[in-house]
Amino acid sequence: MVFKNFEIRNEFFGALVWDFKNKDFLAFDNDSLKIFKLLNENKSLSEISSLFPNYNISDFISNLEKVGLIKNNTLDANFVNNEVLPGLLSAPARLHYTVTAKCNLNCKHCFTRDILKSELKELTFSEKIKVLDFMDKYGIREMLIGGGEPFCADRFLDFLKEGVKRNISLKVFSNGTIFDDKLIKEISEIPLTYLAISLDGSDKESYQEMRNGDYFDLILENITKLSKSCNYDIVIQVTISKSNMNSIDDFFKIVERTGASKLKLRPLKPGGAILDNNDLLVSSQEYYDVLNKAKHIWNTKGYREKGIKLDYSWGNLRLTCDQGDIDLVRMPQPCVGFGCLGGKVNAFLDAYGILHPCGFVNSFLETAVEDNIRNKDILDIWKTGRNFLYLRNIKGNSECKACNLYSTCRGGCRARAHYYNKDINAKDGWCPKDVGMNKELNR
Amino acid sequence: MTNTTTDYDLNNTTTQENKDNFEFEAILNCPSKKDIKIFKVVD
Repeated sequence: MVFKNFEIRNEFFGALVWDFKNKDFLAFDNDSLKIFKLLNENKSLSEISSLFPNYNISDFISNLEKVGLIKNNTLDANFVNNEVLPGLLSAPARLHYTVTAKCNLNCKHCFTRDILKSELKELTFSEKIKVLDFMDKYGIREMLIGGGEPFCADRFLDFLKEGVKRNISLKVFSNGTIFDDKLIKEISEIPLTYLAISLDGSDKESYQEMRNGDYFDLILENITKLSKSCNYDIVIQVTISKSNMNSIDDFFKIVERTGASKLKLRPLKPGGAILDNNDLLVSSQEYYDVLNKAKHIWNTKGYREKGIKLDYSWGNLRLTCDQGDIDLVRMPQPCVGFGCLGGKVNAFLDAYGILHPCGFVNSFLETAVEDNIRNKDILDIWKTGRNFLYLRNIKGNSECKACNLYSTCRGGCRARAHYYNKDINAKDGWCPKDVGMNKELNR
Repeated sequence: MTNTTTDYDLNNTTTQENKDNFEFEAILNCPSKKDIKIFKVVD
């Protein structure tokens, strides 16, 4: 098939379109999908206009040209040959993959600890390639790869190269400890979307407290080398905990000093090893205050002007980065039912081949060991896997369903609901309204 | 290529709850909108 710059998946609401160049999704309604198909059949503008008299088709075509979906009067997109499922994406939009359980660290907050303690054998290289083939076939264009430590995985660079060959956007999350000059050169030659290095302490002591290893100086040296060598984003990722919540200023200084391109802040979630170290968990208000402080520093201390990027989220929800207090970005998700995106938009593949709806699912559900891609078709697990069905059929609660944020939040993270409220149907333990995030919808 | 699209009818009674819960128009691009917006998922 000739490569085109966009790919169209048929979905229950219309079309989910992947932009290969910008690595973004575009979601379209059913009429748009019909028009795409007519364009693909080389129907003329007047023919299409006659079929859709309520639209100004010329304006729509002009908009499609602006984003590049139409080039030289031709639809610059291939269609995925997929089955449309009622109320559910035909396949995950993205796949999280813990490529190996091997790791040289023993972090207090490792969220995959319980998932990866199995005696099962890890997927072989050829089985991993089958996963990439599956993604390529069904238009799953994003893979977020962690571990364990992914660079401990057998033939990891070969795996990444195979992903690149299949035009899959690869985002890699590493602890940054095992690079040498040869590996840095090799990884710089593989066009990742970004490489995130976890740095959960801003000095030797706080790093060691979280990650149980004396690697702080080495990691900073590696980030510096990676930033010089790689043409893609080298991201410093900080999981906010009690141990580092007052060190945001220092993290910005480290980003600047190492030449990294982005500071990415994420919340510590209740799952895996953190359940034994829950004194590290911050409250939603503490996390919200950290984000507002980070935004203030970024805006007032010159980091923004220097081109350093700042990225933060509520874990499952996007947040504003414009003037005023941080608030939710109003953006419903392409799924139905109560609860977050786990099992509805995202899926999580562990090192042994078990497909989970979410990486935190083990904190509240027994692992569905039968849902292993060695024994079952990946799509069958997506459609009928035990924990997928469980998460898609959560009843929820009337308070969330009546909330004006519901279409954006849908009740929120189930791991936090279960941890803080001991009830899978409860609202997210970090309800955005509890910290005053409700303004965006009222503007 | 062949496609297997079937339209998803939001007015169908079997999907009434979906209609109640899901504000499609907020994220879906369509021919009547002024511009085309991207859809971002949190990493």
